[in-house]
Parts: sequence; C-alpha cells; structure tokens
Amino acid sequence: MRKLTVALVVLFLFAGSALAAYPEKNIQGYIMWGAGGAMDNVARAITPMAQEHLGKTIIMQNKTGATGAIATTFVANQPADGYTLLFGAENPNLYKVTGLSQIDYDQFDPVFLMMGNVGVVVIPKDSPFKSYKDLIEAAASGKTVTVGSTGPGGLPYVATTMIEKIHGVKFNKVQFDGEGPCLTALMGGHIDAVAVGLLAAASHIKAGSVNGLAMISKERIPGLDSVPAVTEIYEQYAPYLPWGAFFGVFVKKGTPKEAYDALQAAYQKAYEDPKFDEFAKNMGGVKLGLTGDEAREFIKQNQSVSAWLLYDAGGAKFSPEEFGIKRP
Amino acid sequence: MEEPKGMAGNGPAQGTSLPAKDISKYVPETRRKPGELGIALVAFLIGALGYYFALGMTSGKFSSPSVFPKLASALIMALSAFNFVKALHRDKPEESSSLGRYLFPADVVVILLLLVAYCVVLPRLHFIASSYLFMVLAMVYLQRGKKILRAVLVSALALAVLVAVFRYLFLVILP
Amino acid sequence: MEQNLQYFLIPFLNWEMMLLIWVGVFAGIWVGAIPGLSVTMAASLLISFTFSWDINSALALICGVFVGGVYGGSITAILLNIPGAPAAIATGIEGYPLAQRGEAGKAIGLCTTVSVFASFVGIIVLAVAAPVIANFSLKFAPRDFFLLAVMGILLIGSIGGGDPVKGITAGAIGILISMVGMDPSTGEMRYTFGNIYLMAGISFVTAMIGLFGVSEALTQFRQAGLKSPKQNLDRIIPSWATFVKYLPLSIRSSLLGVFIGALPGTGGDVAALLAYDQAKRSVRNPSRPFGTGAYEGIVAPETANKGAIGGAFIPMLTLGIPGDAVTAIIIGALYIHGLKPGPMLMIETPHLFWMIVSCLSISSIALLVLGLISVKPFAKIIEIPKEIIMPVVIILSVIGTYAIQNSVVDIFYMIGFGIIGYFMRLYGYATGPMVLGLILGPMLDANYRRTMQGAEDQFLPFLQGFVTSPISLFLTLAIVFLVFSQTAVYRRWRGIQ
Repeated sequence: MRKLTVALVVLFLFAGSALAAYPEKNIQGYIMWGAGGAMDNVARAITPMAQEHLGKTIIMQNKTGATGAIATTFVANQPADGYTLLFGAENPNLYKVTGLSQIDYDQFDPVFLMMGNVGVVVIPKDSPFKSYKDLIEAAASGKTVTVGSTGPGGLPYVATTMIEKIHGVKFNKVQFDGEGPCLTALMGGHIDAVAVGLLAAASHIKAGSVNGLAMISKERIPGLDSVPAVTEIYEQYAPYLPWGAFFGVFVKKGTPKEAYDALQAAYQKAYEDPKFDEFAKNMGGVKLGLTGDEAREFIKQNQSVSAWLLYDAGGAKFSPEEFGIKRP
Repeated sequence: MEEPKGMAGNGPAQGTSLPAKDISKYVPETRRKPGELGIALVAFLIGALGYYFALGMTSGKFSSPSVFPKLASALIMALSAFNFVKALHRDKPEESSSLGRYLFPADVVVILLLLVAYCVVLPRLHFIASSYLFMVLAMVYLQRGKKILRAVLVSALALAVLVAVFRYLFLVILP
Repeated sequence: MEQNLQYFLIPFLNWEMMLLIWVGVFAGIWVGAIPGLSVTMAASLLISFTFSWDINSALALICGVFVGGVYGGSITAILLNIPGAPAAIATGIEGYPLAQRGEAGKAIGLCTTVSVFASFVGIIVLAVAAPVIANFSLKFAPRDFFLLAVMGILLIGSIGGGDPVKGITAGAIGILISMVGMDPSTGEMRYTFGNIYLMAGISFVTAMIGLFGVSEALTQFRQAGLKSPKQNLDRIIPSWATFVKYLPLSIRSSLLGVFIGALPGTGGDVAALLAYDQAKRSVRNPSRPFGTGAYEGIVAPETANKGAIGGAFIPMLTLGIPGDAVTAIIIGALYIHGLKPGPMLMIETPHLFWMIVSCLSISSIALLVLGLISVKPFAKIIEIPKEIIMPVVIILSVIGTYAIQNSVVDIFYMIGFGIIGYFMRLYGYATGPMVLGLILGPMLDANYRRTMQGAEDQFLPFLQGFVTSPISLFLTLAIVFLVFSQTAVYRRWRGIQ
C-alpha cells in the first residue's frame, strides 16, 4: 500500500500535476490543554500510531489558554488544507454561552472522537458517607457539604450543577484549578466529595485511596463494576445522559475530502490498535470511536446538556437559545 | 573562595569590568533622577486603572474574583504616592541632565527602534529573515560600522544554531 | 531488600540506559540554559519521540533531562542574568554580580558541586521516606499554600538591593499583571477587555525573559565602550574546606527543597526562593553582603531546586499525584507505555520505583562530570564582546519566548516587558520583585479564595483556621517570626548588621 502511494506520488511529481497525495508534508497538531493532562495523554498516545499510517510526522504542540479557546481560534484561522489539526476536548461547546469566543466546533469537522470520560462522584476513604444516597440526603438536610469544583464549563462544575439541579440541594463549592488538584484535596480531607472525570479518578478508586459513589452514566463501567451507575439510585438523571467529556481530533471545515478521509482512516486504524485498547483501559476512559455525523451528533447532545445546565445555574452569559442549541 | 573580597581585587583587571557597585546597603540618593516623579505618577495611574476596572468584576463576597485585584491596586496607589512624596523631598535633578538624554542614550534609541521594527517586520518577513536582519544591523551599529563581515558571519552562525535547535530538535514551527 | 537492590542495579547493568542518561543530562543542561526551553517541554517532546522504545529507556532519558535541565537554568542566570527557568531567579541575584567580577567560573563550579550533593539528598529522602512525606504533604490545605505564598512575598522587599518600597511597588504591579486573563477558578475575565489573547493571561516566563533578558541588554547599551569582564578560571572546583563550610546550609536548603518539591503544585521555583530568603535571614557572616555576590546566596537556592527533583517524584510514585509539571508528564508517559501510574504503582510494578531512584542517581553523577567539564566553555561566553552577544541574546529571548506556547503575541509581550524593565531599572525599581509577584500572585489569589470558600465566606472561621490546624499554625508563626526578624530589635539581639 505504501509502495503504491510512493509510486503514485512519484508519478504525479513527474507529471508535474498539482494533484499530490495527502499528506505531502509534515502535519501540525495543536493540543488545547497543557502537557500531562488527559487531553495531552490521549492525543500523544494515539497520534504516533496514526502517523505510521499516514507516512508523515504529526508535530504535536500544546497551545494552551482560555480553556482551549486560544488553540481553537488559532486553528480556525489556519488554511483548511488538512495540515493543521486541533486536538480538542468538550470545552468549545460552551464558548458561545459563556461569551468566551464565537468560534466553536461549528467551524470544525470531527475527524475522530477517540475517547470519552464519564463523571464519577468520589469521597475520601474515611468519609462518614457510605452511599450516594447518604451524600445527597446530608446535603438535602441542610448540612454543609463541601465539594470541589472547577471553573464553569469544566466537568466537575457541570456535574455538580447537574446534581444540585436534580435534587434541589446546594453544596458549598471550593474551586480548584483542575480535576487533579480536586482529588489531591479530597485525599487530604480538605473537601467532602467531588465529581470528577473517571480518567483522573480511576486509578485512585481501584487502589482504594478514594471511594467511588456513583458513575454519572446509565451503565456501570467495565473494570469498575463495583461503582453503581447513578440511574440505579436516582432515575431522574436519565434525561441528561449520556453526558461526559470527550477527546477528539478536528480539522477546519472546508478541508479537502481526500485529506479528511486519509486522516480519518489513519486515526480509525490507530484506534483499533490493541495498544490503544490497553491505554484506554489503564486510564479508565470510555472508548468512543465516533466519526462523521455520529460524532457531530454526540457533540451536539453534549453541548445541549452542558449549555442548558450552565445557563439554568446562572453560569452562562448568553442563553443557549440564541445560538440554536436545543434544550435536552 | 575563602577570601572572595581579596580575589575580586586582584582577579579581573580594574577598569576593564564594571566596578561592582556595593548595593548591600541602600544609600538613598540626594538628587532625584530626571523623570522620577513621572514614573511614580505612572505607577499610581496603573494602580488607579487597576482599581477602576476591578470595580466591574464580581464582588460582594470575601472570596470574589475582585478581591485580590482591588487589594493589589490599592497597594500600588498607596506605595506610589509614598514614592512620589519621597522623591519630591529630594533635590531637583541636575540642570545639565535632560530627561530625554537620561532615558534614551543614542545606543538605546537605536536598539529600541530596531526592536520595534523587528516586531513590525516579523509577521511579514517571518522569523529567519527578520532575526538575521536585526542581528546584523544591531551588530554593525554597535561596532560602529567596523568589522561588517564579522557581523554577517556571526549572525548567520548564531541563527543557524538557533534554528537547528528550535526547529529541528524541538520541532517548534517558527513564526 | 535484595529484590530492590536488583531493581536498583537495572540501569547500571544496561549500557544503553547508562548512555541515554548521560545523553539526557548533557541535552538537559543546554535545554535548561536556553530561556524559554523548559524541561517540561523537553519531556513532553520525548514522550512522542520514545513512543516505540521500552519504558525503561524512555525513563532513563527523561530523568537525565530533568536533572540536567534544572541545573542548566542556573548557568544563564549566572552568566547573563537571564534565568533559564524560574527556579534559577534567586541564583541570578548573587551569581550575576559574581560573573561581573570575573568569578563566573567559581560560581558555576560551586553551583555544580552543591547541586550534585542536593540532588543526592533528594534521592535518598525519596528512597527512604517517600510514603511518609507523601501522606504528610496531602495534609497541606489551601490555607497552607496561601501561607507559603505569603512567605515568598515577604522576599519581595528585600531582593534587588534598591529601595524596598519601590521593590514592593513593583511586586504589587506584578501581582496585578498576574490577574490578567480568565480566572481559573470561576472563569471570570479580569482585565481582558474582550481580547482573546489577554484572556489566555500573561505567562510569567514571558515576563521573566523580558524583564531580565531584554532589559539587561538595553541597560548595558547605556554604557558605550564597556568591555565584558575577563574571567578568572583557575580554580573552578571549590576546595573541600569550602564545601564543608557550606554543608550545614546545603543540608538545610536541600531538605527544604525536597519537601516543597513534594507538595503537589509547588516545585523548584518556590523552593529556591524560600531557601534564598531563609539563607539571607540566617547566615550571619556571608562571604559578601547579599545582593552583591554572596556564595551563600547561590548555595541555598541551588540546593533547594535540586532537592525538589527528588521531592517531585515522591507524590508521583507513591500516590500517583504529580509533584510538578515534569512528573505530570512522566505519569502520562507511563500510561502511554501501558503502565498504571497511581497508588498501585509501587505494588504492581515495584521495579519502577527503584529504577527511577537509580536513574536519578546516575544522572547526578553525570551532572557532576558534565557540569564541571562545561564550566570553562560556558564562562567564556561572557567574554564575548557585548556588541556581539547582546543582539544574539535578544533573538534567543525572542525565539525562546515563542517556543513556550507557539504564540507570536508572547514575543510582543516579552519585548514590552523588556522595555518596561529598562525604565524600572533606571529609576531603582528592581525587576526581580515584579517577576516574583507574577509567579506568586495566582498562588496567593487562588488559595486565599479556596480557603475563604471552605470557611463558607465567613471571616471569623477563616481566621480561626490559621490557629486551629497545626500546619497552618506552624506556618503562621514562621511568618510572624520572619517579619519580626526584619526588625532592628531582633537584628541587634542576634548581632546581624
């Protein structure tokens, strides 16, 4: 296959044709979160496998800031030739309602959504709470329950908002810079509970250094079967689910179909590599494997849940309605 | 090393190096520098603007995002007012030293202009060309037009090393 | 035990790992020395690069780069007054005056020797006490991080040598600038005026490169015809007596470094600043007054930031929590290589722990050899006439700044900070405090607010926390003491001039 491609490239070059097979030069990939985070890990784990199928190097760079809006804006301003990729998470879904930026995934085509991340409510191992019901009832009885959170739009923030809205309770929220610091504070006993992404918490739950109370999903997660799905305890969560974070690779709208297809095929093959399976399992991520319209649908559903939750909780500047985002 | 003070005396030949100023004790200068009042005013203005814009942020709680910006701006205003009064109590700057000459000796002006030009040119000529031009021009100017060939060669060499390290080793896509 | 020894010997018996560690240290020294290139960047680059290697080789290389990189940052701080990384800011305060006196060789030699010593202190603590320290470090509440930041802030008035009030003014402006951007905890925009580049905030490394590098270059152009100082390179390796003389300070500062490094979220930069401050207050007869090239002012921050390397691995290897940005990347690397970093790491893969300990040990030995070999060539750099070196330094600052987050806007910020720094220096406002304000501002702001939120926004419970928690009480008392030690009463009593 590769020989054939090379032969074709040579042929085209000799013919002096403008038509060259994609990719004819190295590709740049921009990761919207910093080195060492979940987005960074996922992007850097799958890309070396994908580039083997492309035959060119994908140069990975972290371009951070404003929850990814800097990278998103930057890639949207590059030519749509398939040589600039955006490695993005769910954050752009809220840019419009928070007024952060007008550029979100509407300007992009999802090449591949590799992995998803569901929320999980965790407590310290020596916590007085024994079950999810205990926690919710304690909060409902008016006791002060201090929970960790992040800035509006982060998974802990939206998940906490969802819980508050469904049960009509109020937590005392302490805001941290990310999921990692939330968990660290939880282990040190500085907060009572936190809802974080499973990717950050899986290894700690497995080791027993924190206890998982409920997965914010409709089913239990393989590998962590001991943690109940939240719908088993409270059915009211069903309309909001499936909901969670996702990690994907995107190109700007208008990228030539040939380039899009080549990238998609490469990431599809990398996704199917057993090495990636192993990686997803270790990290505690949910494999998604969505592309094209399916991916678009998934992103829309996520946007609708998060944007409306945020808006109802008063964390959004603009109504999702203004941007045609439907209520879940 | 046991007697660093002695070492410093017979180490570098005096006069070839900047005589190390003893800054261990702060000795207030009797005369204020030209423009010293101005800079205290600028600092005060920064504080005032900082406070003004902090008024527009969420407030009302002890943990509001506006608490620290307000604290910092208030501190800046108080301290720069103090600096201003202190500078005022000192003697006037010497007649001979004009503000312009104090702030911008010829060499500094040229380098500053080159820097501004560099910023303007960078997006158009890209990194390699504009950096090369900057280095050659700066070196030629600083050597007072002598040894032009050396400036041309040294700049090329330095740039080659930088580009090799950043572009090819660190895979940084240069602007 | 025998098993652990076997694990420890893995890298010694594998020539490939051995070689990679040496290559890593060598590359690390250069990476660290170039402003803007950071160990974090190098490590994340190496992860893609070593994707197909086995994990042992990848870790060997990353450990080497880590140790070499932290050391390299100090070289440029001493030679050019441009810290290669924030952890080297304090080193530059004393190191640069020494280089100007022609003692760059001795300064770097001393820095190398104590660095290797401190690095071993860190490794030994990691090997024998990791679980204990890790569990203790979890007990640090946001309030305690706030107190640590306050300790760092206390340094602002005393560095830079000039008028302390002007230093504090510059520090406060630094804090104000650090507020620019999206507030990480509420998402609120502060001082952004709707501009997306301001929303991303102003990176303190960008400011640091401008305020130290470009402003230094501009200031030097004021004195036309000034020659670069000639360097004395006769005795670079400090004598045994010198080493012993600084041993108590080295042990104290490196232990402080290990501990600060082990706290999740704080690293070598905070450790070095606190150690410098501690030395400045406790050393009674420094080799020269602090601020003019005191060797004690090099020993303390250098030992602290090297000790912090071992410290950063403590929470990472025992709890799966990164101690700093580099260990966060190593955690990612372990995932990518199919391992499970986390609290189970030491149980499921005990060999990794001992292998990292031994990779770090070999790195430290390599640092001693490579560091001392490169003292002379490095020191020669400042003998280059300044009309040649300064334009190159400016371009180096530009490309280094760009590389931090691939942003052209950062280049403009950097040059802007360079010009601001030039004016500040003219009027006796030290630039160091401004950088300190930029580094510590977010730490102060975020942790103060977290503490307040934990106290449900009530002022009284907030204050109570400072005396009811043992760690907070200790830190509060330490701060009271630090402030008191500045007063004339105390100084007369202790006989410090």
